[in-house]
Amino acid sequence: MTSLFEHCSECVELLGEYVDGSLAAEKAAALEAHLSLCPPCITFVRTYKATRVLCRHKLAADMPQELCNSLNAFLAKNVPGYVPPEGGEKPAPASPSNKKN
Amino acid sequence: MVDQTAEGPAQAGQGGEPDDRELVAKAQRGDGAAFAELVARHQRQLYRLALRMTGSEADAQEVLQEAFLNAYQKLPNFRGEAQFSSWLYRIAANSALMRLRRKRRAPDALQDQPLELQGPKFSVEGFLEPQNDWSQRADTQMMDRELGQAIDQAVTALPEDYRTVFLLKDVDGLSNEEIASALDLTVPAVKSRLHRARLSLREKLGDFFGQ
Repeated sequence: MTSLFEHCSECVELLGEYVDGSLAAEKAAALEAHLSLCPPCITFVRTYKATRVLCRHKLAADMPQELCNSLNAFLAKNVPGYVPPEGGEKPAPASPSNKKN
Repeated sequence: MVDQTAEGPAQAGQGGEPDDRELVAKAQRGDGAAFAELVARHQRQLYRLALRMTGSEADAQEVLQEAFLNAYQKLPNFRGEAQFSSWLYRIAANSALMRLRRKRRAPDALQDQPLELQGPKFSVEGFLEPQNDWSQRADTQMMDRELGQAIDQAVTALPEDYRTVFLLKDVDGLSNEEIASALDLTVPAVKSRLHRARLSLREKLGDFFGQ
């Protein structure tokens, strides 16, 4: 049987791990049970998630091409046999632009 | 939601490409092209780390050069006990910290600072008051310039060590483990700072949307 968090403050404390998917299953179930009964907490979760999305959208920074070029030029001078691969840089593994929420 | 990390595509080879481990082994045998491939794979993430830690594009450039050169010189000592990317983040973070210390003459740039972060208000019993759901408005105002300014101000107002963790995680997509390794924090400390930062930012965005 799923236990239930009685207070909103307990849920808010665990929200970071819940939203990131790292909260233990039992605690996540208890949190969801609370959410199913608590409209203020549902709104809180929505706005908590929206905060991340907005900040990511506004603050994403990509590496300028000139900086890639100057880094390669610097390393070519200092690392024997350094030859930048065809096409220069590789796509960012987990850049904000290709990351889904 | 699954926590995405930078490890996947950068570590494992795609479409027959060698993975980091193979490239590191080649680079350790003096293959400069293999090292260049490692640089190409990781430079963007390292740039974001350096930019977030130093707050300056010029400093980030210096940090990147120093970090990759340092990594090349230390490569013979890399035994592969940690992920190559984590090892690299640590080198870059140290380089950024050294730069910050030289600039500020402050020995502990990323240690705990006095913390006055806003958070939600609860009743005495621990319950939330009814909340204003501004999440829908956030979607429609995504391009709003004033909103951008409000976000800039709110993020700038965060204590530095909280801001760095937040930006690396929620904006740049590093994993908690990578951030912990780079900033010499425990994973629980990363999670805690991240959550406090998000709560504070949420409050300020709520103020902006007229909560």
